[in-house]
Amino acid sequence: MPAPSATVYLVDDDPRVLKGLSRLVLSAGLPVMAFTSPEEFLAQVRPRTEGCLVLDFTMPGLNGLELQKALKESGCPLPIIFLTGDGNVPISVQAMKRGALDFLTKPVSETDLLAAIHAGLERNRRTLEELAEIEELRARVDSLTSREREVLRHVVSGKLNKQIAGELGTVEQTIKVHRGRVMEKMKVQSLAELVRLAERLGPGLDGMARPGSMDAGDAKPAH
Amino acid sequence: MPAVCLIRRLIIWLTITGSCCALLEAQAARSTYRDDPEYLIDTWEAEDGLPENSATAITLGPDGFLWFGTWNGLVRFDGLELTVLDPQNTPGLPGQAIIHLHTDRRGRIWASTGNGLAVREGSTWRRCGTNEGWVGTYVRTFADHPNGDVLFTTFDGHVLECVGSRIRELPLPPGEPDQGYFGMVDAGRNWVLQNRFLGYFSDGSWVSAFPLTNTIPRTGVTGAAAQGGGFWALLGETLIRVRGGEVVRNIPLPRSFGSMWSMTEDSRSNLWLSTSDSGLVRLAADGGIRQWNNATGLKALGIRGVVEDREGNLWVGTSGGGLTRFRPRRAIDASFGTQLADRHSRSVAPSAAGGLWIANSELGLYRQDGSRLSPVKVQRTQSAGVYGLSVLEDRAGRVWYGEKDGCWRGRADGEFEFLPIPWAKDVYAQSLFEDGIGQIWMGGSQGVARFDGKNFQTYGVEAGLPRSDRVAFAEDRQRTLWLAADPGLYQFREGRFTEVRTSDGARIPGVLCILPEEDGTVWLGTRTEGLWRWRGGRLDKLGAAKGYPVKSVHGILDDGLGYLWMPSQRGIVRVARADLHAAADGHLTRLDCLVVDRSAGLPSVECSTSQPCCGRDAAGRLWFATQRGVAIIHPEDIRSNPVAPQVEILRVNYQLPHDSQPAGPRSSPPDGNEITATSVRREAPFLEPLRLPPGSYGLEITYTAPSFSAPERVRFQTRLDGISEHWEDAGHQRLTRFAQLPPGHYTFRVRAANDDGLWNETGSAMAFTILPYYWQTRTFRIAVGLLLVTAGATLVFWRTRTKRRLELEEMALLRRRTAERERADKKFLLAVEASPNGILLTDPSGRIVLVNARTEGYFGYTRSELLLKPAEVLLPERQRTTAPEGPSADRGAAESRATGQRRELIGRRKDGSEFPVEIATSPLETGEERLVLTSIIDITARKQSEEAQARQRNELAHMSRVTMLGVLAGSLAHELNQPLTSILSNAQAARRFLARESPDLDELRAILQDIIDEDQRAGEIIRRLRGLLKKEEEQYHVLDPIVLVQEALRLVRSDLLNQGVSTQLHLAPNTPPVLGDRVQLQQVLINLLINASEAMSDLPRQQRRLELRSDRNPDGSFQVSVSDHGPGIPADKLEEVFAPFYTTKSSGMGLGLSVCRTIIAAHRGRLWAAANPGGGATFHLMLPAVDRNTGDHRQLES
Repeated sequence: MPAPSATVYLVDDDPRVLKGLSRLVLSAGLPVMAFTSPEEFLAQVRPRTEGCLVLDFTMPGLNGLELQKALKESGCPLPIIFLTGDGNVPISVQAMKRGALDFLTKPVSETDLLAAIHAGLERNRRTLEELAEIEELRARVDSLTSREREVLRHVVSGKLNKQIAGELGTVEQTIKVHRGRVMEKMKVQSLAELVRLAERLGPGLDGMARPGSMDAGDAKPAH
Repeated sequence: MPAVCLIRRLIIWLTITGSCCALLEAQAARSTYRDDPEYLIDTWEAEDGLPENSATAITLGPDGFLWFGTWNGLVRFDGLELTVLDPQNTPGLPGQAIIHLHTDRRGRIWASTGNGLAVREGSTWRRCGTNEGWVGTYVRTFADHPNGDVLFTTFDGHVLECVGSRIRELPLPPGEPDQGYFGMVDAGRNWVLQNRFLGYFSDGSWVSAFPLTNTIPRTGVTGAAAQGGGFWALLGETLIRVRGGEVVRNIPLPRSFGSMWSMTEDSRSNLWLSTSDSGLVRLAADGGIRQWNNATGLKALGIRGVVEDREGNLWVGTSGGGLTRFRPRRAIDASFGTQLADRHSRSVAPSAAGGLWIANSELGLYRQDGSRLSPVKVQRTQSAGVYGLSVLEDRAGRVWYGEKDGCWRGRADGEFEFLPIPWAKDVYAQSLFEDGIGQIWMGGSQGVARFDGKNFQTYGVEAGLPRSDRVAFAEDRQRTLWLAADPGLYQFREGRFTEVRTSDGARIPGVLCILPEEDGTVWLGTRTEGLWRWRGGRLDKLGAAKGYPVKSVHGILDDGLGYLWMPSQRGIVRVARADLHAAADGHLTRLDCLVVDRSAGLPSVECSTSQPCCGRDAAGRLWFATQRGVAIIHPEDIRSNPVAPQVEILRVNYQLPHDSQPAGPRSSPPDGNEITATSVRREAPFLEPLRLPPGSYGLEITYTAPSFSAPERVRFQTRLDGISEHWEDAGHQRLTRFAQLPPGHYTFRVRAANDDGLWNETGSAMAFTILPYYWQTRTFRIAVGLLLVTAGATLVFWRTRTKRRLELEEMALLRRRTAERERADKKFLLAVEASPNGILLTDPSGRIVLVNARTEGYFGYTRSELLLKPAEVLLPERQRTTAPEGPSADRGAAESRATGQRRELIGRRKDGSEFPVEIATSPLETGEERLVLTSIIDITARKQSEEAQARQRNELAHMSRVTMLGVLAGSLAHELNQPLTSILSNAQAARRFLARESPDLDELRAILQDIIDEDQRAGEIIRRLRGLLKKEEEQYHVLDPIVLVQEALRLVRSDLLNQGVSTQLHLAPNTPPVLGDRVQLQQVLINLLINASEAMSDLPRQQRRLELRSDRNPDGSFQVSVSDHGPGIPADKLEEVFAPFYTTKSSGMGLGLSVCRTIIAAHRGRLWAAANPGGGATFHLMLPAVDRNTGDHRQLES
């Protein structure tokens, strides 16, 4: 189930089409916000906005691809379902490549649209959860001192305390203390758990702090 | 006849406008090699339009054109334009590779091609040789007999002769078989030359004239006809001349020059050797030898031949290096290759001891002796930069050299001392002059100074002089010093300068230089008005009005040969002194001037303004200082171009009126003439006068005049006999346009002058006739005149008899009286009968009282059946009531119309059939009653033709519309998708709402209403689309143009969106209604919008802005303009875009705009394109306003 605050955002420059689509989404019991221009929508959206976006591809001003780009740049992971008047294959391929959730041809059937919207909401939920989790992990890493972080890097690369002490120019005992603190701060019980967490954060633990880089476009669909 | 004058003036004006707009013929761009001391060497290559980068053979044709061959076709060249002939466009040419060309003494041009021999007689090419049974290979050489017979030799060693027009083969000569010979003619005999044999043909066999050793290489032999008879033969390293069967000259050469291909002797007795591997060699008559190769002006080493034109230019054909022209220089760049090359020389002074002093602006003082140039050092005390301005050698042999702040004085072999100018700083001594008593005068920006041998005496404002940035001195025969100081001319008398004024007291401003002559004449060169003559207080201006070719005169130099030479801002002008006097005295209307400019070898056309800026040395040579070096002219060598160019009219184009189609099928016959729906092109030759169909317009006549020294300077004058008796100056234009000529017989004449102003007075002429429409014919006009006379006569006639006629009401009496009248004035009736129109006279009660035979014929009634019948019988029933102004004529209405105003009605024949008529009614006041005279014309044929035209326009418009909609299909589908999407989602939402336990009925009602609205919206789109696709007859309605614009925008909206085009609308309020066919007008608007959108498809999306503006013009008409920001349309293509099949797209037929224009023309509007000031194009569409209620076109408000 989508979070109660998750909203379906509709953007279409034709107010009558917008009205029909809004009704359809409302009839499925989902909250809807409708906009007649991409600019209006962009003014509303925030990086952690929950929901999904149903977007008419052809509009004056920003077109669909441009809006998709703008969203990505603002770090907002809203999944996008494109609606288009003609099944323009090259553009749909381009949009899909850039992470569009679906590309539906007008007139769109309720089954297709609602299925896509549900999939979009689900994906958005997971993306946001994952983001939250990663933020949490990142906060844990941030609480490590630089020495502890170094030790962590060596630990997860599978080195023994003795080897780490050698490389860091200290004694095994000190490494043990660091290691204990790392386990404590990272809130893990076992080495295996620590390694899994480190893997989730990706390579280069220090370089992890890239704000807004984990968006819907780049994230692998969660299975 | 003021009206006629006005029309003529209008036509001439249109003609001039036409020629201004006409495209300048593309000048063959070419590269010029300017570093040869004797010649300016220009080369035309494939980039300049050659079909292939060779000139394999050259000949000067009898038509005055230069003909040359390439491996890809034969070229006819007038100096600018290259016309390529090949087997595709000239069936008489057997092959496209041209091996050799020759013009014989009968004016035939022979062309040896890779596929056989062809000859041009008259203006047609035909293949020859094959019929005579000769199938040899290419012709290698041609030689002429004085009687016009021609001798050929071939590559495979055959020798043929064309006697009269018969070709026969001579026996094979005894030389090396299969190796070609050079053919020559001497003393009426055929000679051949090879490395193994040189001999002649006599009495059926070959006679060896000179035994040859076997050591001459085959490529060391060539021959050429010699000036004055006989021939030259090059045999290895020996050159011999044979004349009368004897060797009259035998010249040993120092070496061999390469593999010989051909040899030519020019009019100065130079022999030119064309080698196939070592460039071009000139053996001068004086024994000098020069060789040119690809480092010295040629583009290739393989030379095919040299031909001299009648203007003294040598044309060199190369294999792979294009066509090259060697043009003898008139001016030689004396500073070429020296330090002063390309530098601004300010002043030159020939030295009495020989040689020359040169003051250079940047490098200082120089002395030139022969070819040696040496700088002259002056001891500078301060670090002031060099700024050489003037130089002078006085009679005592001292040299004066003017710089900034003063001048230097010294001798050729000694030290120079500096004499500072005693007045203010920062002045420039730019004029130096020695007077008759050896005083040196110096002039600069602050005044004038005189050096009397010891001191400077200065003269400035206090001495009566103005502040002038430039002064010039001269002294007349009375030893009075003259000074030109702008503004004003002064004389120095008794220590003071007094201003010289004309006898009526006017100042003489703007003089730059002065030349007093012995006879009291003073020539004044001015800054902007050419040359003036001062004589006895009178000033005669010889400026542009007298044909003086440039504005400024910087100096005046007498060459001692009767000519004055005047450097200027635009080259050096030479004029005969006698001509100047004759022009000043009014005996000569136009000066014959020769201009030496860059095309004549002058290093720069901008000559110095210092004094002295030019000089004549002891050897008579003239020296000039220019912006880019010093030039020498040998005045005795300069002759004007002696060849008046032959003029040829090349082609005629004209437009056909929309209502006329040329007879016969529309096709392009093979003679190059082309006829399309609206325009006709006819190519020369014009064997008989052209006959242009009625209404033809936009006549364009293209002509040329071959001239080879400076073809771009050939000038033309045209005259159209029948319109003007005066020659109109066409400048360098080779195209004259006549926008609209009335029907008549004309002769177009054109004449040309070469670059030196020599006119070919004969020129060329072409007669043509513009046929009249039937109403423009004389017969028709006479008939109309007669009709008017008849009407007048009728009036008088009826007035005199009205009383009696009123008394006699009975039909029989009237019939008798009519008969009496017929007898009484048979001639009058005959005139009525002869009228080409039906004529009808009705009395006040609408009864017919007179008809003519034509009326009988039109309506199928006999006269007696019509007389005294109401005129309504001639109208169908429905018109009797709806047409109160019919022939029955309620009189008020008839009177309210101007006499002769025409209306169209439907006539009804006796058999009930109907036909369209045009009638004109005039009230006739007889004093007692009002009669109405009606003239009737059957316009069935005209109507049919109009309908056929409308049908055709409709077809075309429909076709174009369907094509256009194809372009829009994608976006129309999108447009339709919107309502469908809305309907579907509304319906599905409704279904879901219904499935709820307590459906919100209000919401469901709203949904259903929306579905209905959306369905109507979809239906509307389809209806509009169907409207555009339908092929209906034109239907004219009064329309609101703004609604039209909005509907068109709605149809293209999605297309514009897809293209990312943003649209700005400026719709003026209160636009007038227009009359038109809704579908067709929409089609035009959509077309313009799509075009504008497509024009911007290469721009980044943000820049794709389209503007649509509608306006109400001051005359009340409606105008809509569609502007884009695309690449725009070049000025010369603004009209072309409306031509059928003009397109810049890869798809599409190019019919859109052409059809649009036809549609708008049918709406009595205008459609045109213009360039935006900021880039892009704007299409304007103007439609006349109509009255909202009647649909009548409004009269102009002003």
